Amino acid sequence: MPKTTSTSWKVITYVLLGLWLLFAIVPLFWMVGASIKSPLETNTYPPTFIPRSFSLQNFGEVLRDRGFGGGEEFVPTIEIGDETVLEGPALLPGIRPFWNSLKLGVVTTSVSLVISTMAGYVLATYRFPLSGFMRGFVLLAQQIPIVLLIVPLFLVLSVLRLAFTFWGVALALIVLVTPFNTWLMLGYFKVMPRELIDSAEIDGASQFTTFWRIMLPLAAPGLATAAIFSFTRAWNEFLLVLALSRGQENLPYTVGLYNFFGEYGSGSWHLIAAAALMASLPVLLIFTVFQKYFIAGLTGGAVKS
Amino acid sequence: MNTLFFTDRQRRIAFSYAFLTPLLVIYILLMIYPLVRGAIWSLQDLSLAAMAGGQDISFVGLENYRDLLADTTFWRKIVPNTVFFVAGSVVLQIALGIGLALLLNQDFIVGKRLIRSLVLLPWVTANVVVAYSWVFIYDSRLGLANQVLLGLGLDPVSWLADRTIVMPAIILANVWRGTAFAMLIHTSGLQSISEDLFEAAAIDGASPWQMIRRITIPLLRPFTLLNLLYATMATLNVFDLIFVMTGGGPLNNSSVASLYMYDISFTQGRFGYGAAISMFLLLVNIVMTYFFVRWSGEDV
Repeated sequence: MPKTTSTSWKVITYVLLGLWLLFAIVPLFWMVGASIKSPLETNTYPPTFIPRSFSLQNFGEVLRDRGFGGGEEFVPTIEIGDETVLEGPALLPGIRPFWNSLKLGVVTTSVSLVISTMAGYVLATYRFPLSGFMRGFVLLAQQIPIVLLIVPLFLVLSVLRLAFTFWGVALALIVLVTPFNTWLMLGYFKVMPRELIDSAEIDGASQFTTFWRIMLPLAAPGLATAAIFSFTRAWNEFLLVLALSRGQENLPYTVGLYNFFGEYGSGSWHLIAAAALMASLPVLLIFTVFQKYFIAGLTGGAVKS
Repeated sequence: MNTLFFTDRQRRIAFSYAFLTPLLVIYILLMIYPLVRGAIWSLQDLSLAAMAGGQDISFVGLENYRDLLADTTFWRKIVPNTVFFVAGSVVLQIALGIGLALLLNQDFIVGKRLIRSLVLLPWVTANVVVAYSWVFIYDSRLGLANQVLLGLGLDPVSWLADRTIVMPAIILANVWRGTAFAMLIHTSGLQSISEDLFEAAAIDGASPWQMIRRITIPLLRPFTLLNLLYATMATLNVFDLIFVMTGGGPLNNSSVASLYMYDISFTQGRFGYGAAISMFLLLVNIVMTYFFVRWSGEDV
C-alpha cells in the first residue's frame, strides 16, 4: 500500500469502516438490548433503541421456564452405557438445553479429534497401499454436504438403534466435523520435518512411540484449531439435531430455541433474546480467548496462519 | 519381537491401517453407506404412504428423476430462489469482503485488531441466533427495520411475509453473517503480496488506484476463487438460516433446494423422491467443485 495517505482518504476510510461496524453491531445490540430491557419495554410500540429499563429477569425466566428445558427441574448426569456415573445437584430446567449442547460439543470434539489425528498422521507420514486413494477420499469427503445425506443417515442410525438418542446425534456430528479435522491434521503433520520421524525410528522407537512422544506434541496448534472448530460446529448445529432428536430429554439449545419460539411466538422477544444471548456466550468466550485458532478453524483451513 | 518376522515396511503398513480403522469405520458406516443407500432409494418408489399401505417397495428406474425434471415447483420456484440466494449472497459477501480487507490493510488504521474482532462477531454467532436476531429486526411492529423506514419517511413493510421482499431480506441477513469470511481470506491474500511491488510501482509514478487495479486485484485472484468456491458451496447448502427465518414461506417464495428436499422427505414422507433430489444436488455440488478446481488451476 502507498505510504503517504491524504487526510481526506483517511477520513473516508474511517467513515466506511464505521458504517460497516455499525451494520455488524446493530443487530447484536438490538438483541442484547431486548434481553436486558423489562419485558414491558421490549413488547411496547414504538420500540426503543437505547434501553430505558434494565433487568435480568428475562434470563431468570428462561432458565425457570419449562418451555425451554422441560420438566420441573433438571439434574445433570453423565452416563456410560445405561449407567449413571455422575449426578449433579438439581438445577433450573432451563439449564438442560445448554447442558445437552455442552455434552454434544465435548463428545463430538474428543471423539473426532482422536479419529482425525490418527488418520491424518498416517496419511501424512507413510506411504502404503491405497494411501493416495485415501488422501483423495478424505479431501472429497469434505465436499459432501451432510444435509443431503440426512434421510439415509437417519435410517442407518435407526438400524443401529441410535435414532433419537444422544449417541445418534453425536455420531452424526462426528461425521460432520471429522473430514475437515482429518484434512487439517494431515496438513499439520505434512509440513513437519521428516527427519524427526526417521531419526526416532533409527533410534529404535516404534511407530506408535514416534507418534505419541514426538509428533503429537508438535501438532498442538493443529489440535487446538480442530478442537475449537469442532466444538463450535457441534454447539451451533441445527439441522442434524432437528432431524435426529425427539422429545426434550436430549435436546440441545439450538432446536430448543426453535421450539421455544414456536411455542411463544413473537410476543415474547424478551425471552427469545435472553435465551439467544446465553447461547452465544460460550462461543464468544472461546472466540475472544483463542481468536487465532478460531479463525484458522472457521476459515476451514483456507487461510493458513 | 515382531522384528524378526516382519519387515519394517510391513509393520508400517499394519500401523497405518490400525490408525486409519476408526476413520474408515465412521466413513463407511455413516457416509458411504448412506450415500449408496440414498442412491438406491432414488431409484425406488419409497414413501411413508406406500409403507403405511403395506406395499412392497419396488424399483421404478429413473421415474423419480423424470418426476424431478417435470416438477414445476422445483424448476419455477426453488431453482430460481436458490440461484438468487446463492448469487446475491456470494457476490455481495465477496465484494464487501474485498473492500473491507483493502480498507483494513492500510498502515495508518488504529485499533486494527479490535475492528477485525468486531467485524468477525456476526460470523461467530450461531445461525439460529443470527436467524432470530433478523426475524426480530424484521418484526413488522416491534422490529428495527420498519423503525428505520418510518424514520426515513417511508411506509413500513412486512419483510418476511411479502413474496418479493422476503428473499432480499434473507440475503441481507446472510451477507451480514458471511462477509467476515471473505474479508479474512482476502486479508491473508493481501498479506501475501510483497511490499516491493508497490514501492516499485510508486517509483514509476503509479496512482493508488492503478496499483489496486494492476497489482492488488490480479494477485488476489487465487484467493477470490478460493473464496468463491467455499462461499458458493456453503451457501448452496444453507438450511438453518432460512428454515428458522421463514420455513421457506410465504408459499415457497424463500424456499431453496435443501429446504425443499427436507420438506419432501421429512414432511411429506416421499423418501424416494427426496433421495432423487439429494442425488441431483450432490451432482451439482461435485460438478461445481470440479470446475472451480480446474478453473483456479490449483489444488483447493
